[in-house]
Amino acid sequence: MAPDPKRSEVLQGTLDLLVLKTLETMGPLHGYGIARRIEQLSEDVLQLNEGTVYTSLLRLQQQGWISSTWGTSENNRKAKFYSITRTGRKQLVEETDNWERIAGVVGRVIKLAPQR
Amino acid sequence: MLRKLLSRIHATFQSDRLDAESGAEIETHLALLEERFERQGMSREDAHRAAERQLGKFTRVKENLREQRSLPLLETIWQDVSYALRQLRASPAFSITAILTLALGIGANTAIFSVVKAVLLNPLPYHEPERLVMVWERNLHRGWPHNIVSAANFRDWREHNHVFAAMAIFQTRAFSLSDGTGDPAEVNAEQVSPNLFSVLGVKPFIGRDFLPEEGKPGSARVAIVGNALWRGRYGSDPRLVGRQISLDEQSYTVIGIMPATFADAYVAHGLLNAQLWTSGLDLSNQDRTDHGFIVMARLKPGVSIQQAQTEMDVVSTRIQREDPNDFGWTTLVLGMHDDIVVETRPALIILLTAVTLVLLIACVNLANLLLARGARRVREAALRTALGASRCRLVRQLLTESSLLSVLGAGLGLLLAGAAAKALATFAPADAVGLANAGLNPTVLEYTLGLAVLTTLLFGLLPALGLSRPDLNKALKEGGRNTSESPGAQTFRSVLVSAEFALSLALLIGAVLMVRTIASLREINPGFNPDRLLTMEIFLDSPRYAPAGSHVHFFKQLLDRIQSLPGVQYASVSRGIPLEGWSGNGFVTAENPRPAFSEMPDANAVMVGARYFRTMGIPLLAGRGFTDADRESTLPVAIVNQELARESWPGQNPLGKRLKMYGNFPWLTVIGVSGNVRTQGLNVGFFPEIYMPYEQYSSWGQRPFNLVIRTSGKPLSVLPAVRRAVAELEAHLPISNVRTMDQVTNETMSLKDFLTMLLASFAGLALVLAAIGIYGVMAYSVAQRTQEIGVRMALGAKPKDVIGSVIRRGVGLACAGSIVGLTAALALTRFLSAQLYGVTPTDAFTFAVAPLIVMVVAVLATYIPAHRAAQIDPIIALRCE
Repeated sequence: MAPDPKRSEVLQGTLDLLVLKTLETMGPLHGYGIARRIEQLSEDVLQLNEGTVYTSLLRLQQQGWISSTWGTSENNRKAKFYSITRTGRKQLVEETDNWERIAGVVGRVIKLAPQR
Repeated sequence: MLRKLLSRIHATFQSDRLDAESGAEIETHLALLEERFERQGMSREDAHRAAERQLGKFTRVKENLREQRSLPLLETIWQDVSYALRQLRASPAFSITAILTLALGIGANTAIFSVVKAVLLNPLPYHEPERLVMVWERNLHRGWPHNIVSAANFRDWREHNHVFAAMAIFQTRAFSLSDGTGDPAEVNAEQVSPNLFSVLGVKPFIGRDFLPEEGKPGSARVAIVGNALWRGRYGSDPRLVGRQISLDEQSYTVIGIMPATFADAYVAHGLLNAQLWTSGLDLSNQDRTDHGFIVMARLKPGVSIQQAQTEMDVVSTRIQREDPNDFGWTTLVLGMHDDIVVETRPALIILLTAVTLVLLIACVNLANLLLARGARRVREAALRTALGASRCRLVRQLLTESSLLSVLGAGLGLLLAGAAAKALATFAPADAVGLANAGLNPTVLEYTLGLAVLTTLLFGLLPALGLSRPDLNKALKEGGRNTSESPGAQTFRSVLVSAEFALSLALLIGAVLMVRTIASLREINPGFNPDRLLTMEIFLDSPRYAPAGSHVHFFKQLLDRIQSLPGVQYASVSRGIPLEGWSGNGFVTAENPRPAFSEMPDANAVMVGARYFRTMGIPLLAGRGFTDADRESTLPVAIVNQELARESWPGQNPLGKRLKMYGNFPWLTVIGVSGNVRTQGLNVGFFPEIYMPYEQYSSWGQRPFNLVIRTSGKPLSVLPAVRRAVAELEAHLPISNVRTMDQVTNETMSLKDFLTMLLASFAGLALVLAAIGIYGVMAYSVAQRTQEIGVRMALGAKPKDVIGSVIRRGVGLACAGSIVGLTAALALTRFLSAQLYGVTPTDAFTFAVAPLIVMVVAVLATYIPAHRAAQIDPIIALRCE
């Protein structure tokens, strides 16, 4: 298979999962906070283009898995705070199962001997 | 899904507000990042740059968000399409094969459909054409199923029927047209009843239609000119209306000009090739046996053809009772359109079926190619699923690829079809009427589009569904070597290949049967020798040839001149030529001078000149030929053909016997017996014929005669000299219908030739597709079995064993297909039987040879992968493990 050139697309499924999980554990957060949390947890392994967090948030919102309200940030700026919804929690359980299954598979695929 | 869509639709209408919001959100994020970097000790500028690097360019992020909010359709379709394009570019061999396969399949279908549309589906361009019928006479006792009509019967029909709103009648004839503008020309014309055009529901577009009183005997002579003649000879001058033209040296007033649309339709539908319509139709003949007219009628509203037929049966039964001369003559009412396409419809239906089979094969082939490709893409599908692609999305992606192939194939196919339709119209036999109108039009384009969609579903859906449900664990457990299709899938692909062979074989059998038909037709001895034989028509219709015997004088002089031209071996004259039809006349013999009408035999009476038999190469089996000594004043003589002699005087010597044409004719003495000639067509049997010396019928001058000229070199090379010879005797005498007898022979087979050529091309196409199909399957299976073959070779299998095993498998597939194909062909060729000659629909030779051809193709197509298998290096093959 040809490697997919779009990094963001490769991460598409994963980033949504990370964002959802972050919101579940941390409670309501704004985009900056989510980016910091992921950065912290990934121990700088994941080079995150933080703009994609917003695309992910928008996607999740369109699915109805998160909701948002306007609030004020640490530096007194206007910021949108996101929180996970009930369907979002349900989805998170499913997505987590799915991810674990797939991660195993992908791991095996990647370890396969190259084809002639 | 729905929720997402609604939210996006909502967003689309609020895009400005949302844009501003997300802008604010991102600005906050950017500011927070900058502050953080500044806290870490960066300068303001560095912090800004670093923040932007980490977040992405402000505008870019906003842009992404806007895209994400907006409606997804176009965007993701474009994503799918561009991804599909990349996929197709990545494997050009596959893509080109697929697109060409589709282009050929769809192109051929579109071309044939455009013909079917033009000939069978387009209604006739007349007013309420479904109410138009042709009314023929028929005499099944005598074997005339579809005969022209006698004036006397027409008059009775018109008077006694209650089913027709109107009946029109006409007679075809040629006129010599002269009008002071250029050379006289011979034009095909129809003398018509005044209501002909109103029955059809058309009118002249300049001038007026015929008036009812112009049908009465003795009324002023008037003519309506066809559009082509008007444009060609009169330069589209509308002042032609009102002018006098001379037809056969009689003056006619032009009263109208027909529109171009009418001319085309009228000619295209093969009713007749008329360029001119005139009054002066003579319907006074009381003799019911003199059949010479064509009748068309318009049904009253609500009357069916069947009802009209029933009514006409009653009318004709009454006429038969009243006039014994009419014994056995009934009527045949046919819808005008049915009547026109009676010959072409079956041929076109056969072609449409054949070409549909080709498309089916193309689809099967593509499904197969996609399946093989799909097997190679299992891992791709697995990864995409793993990365979050839904099944729906995968199916859509794969269907996008198929659609893209279809669209490209259909596009290319349309180009091919456009060219093919033109070629078809050119090659089309003259009797495949309406073909000239074939072409691409909206209906045809819709048909093509429909085909493209259908083919996409046929060849794309199955592989897509299969691929979109990869059994991840299994697919991946099988490891890198055999990310293979399951045995089930392999079997399925084998079945598909076999199906291709089955369909191809059925087509091939049809084509071979037609080729053998043509071969049998070509082997038929027409009873004369068509080589180097030229024929043309001359019509001495000017009043100067009204005096009895004047035409004899003319032809004698003309033949003397032609005979002495270099390159001419023999020349003669006759009324009518073989293969061009047969006009039956009743006759009686001296042995049975007053038979019942129902038992009176028919013969084709042909007036011929001296040396006719020698010129035509018709053998004289007994007695003598005609000579210049057979004149009006000498004993009326006749030469009969073998068939007549056999029927009338079985087992006796016909020489010296006497016979007489029914009607006011003299008794004739038989002086010779000629070989039988095919008068009705190559594949039609022999009919009795009576030849009479034209010189003994001096009042028969003003009728069309044929010159027949046997040449020593190319027949057409003597034509200029012949024309000069004619002009020397009679300046401005038109010569028409110049053809070689080879041409005449070929014309009789043109529809069959056409059918054969197309069927053979379709069968060839089908075989190529099947070959591609089996090649694909075998190549794939060899690639799959690399290890196995390697092991075998390591254990001592020889290359030829390997080749053998691969070919055996290929031939096995072809064999399985062939068995099915043979069975299908046995069922299908029945529908071809009407087109066949000299072979039965279950011809053993064909059913033996066609599978052989298929096998050879299978072996050839399998050989390359087999050879490749034999080249496998066991060491490498095993190391790959």
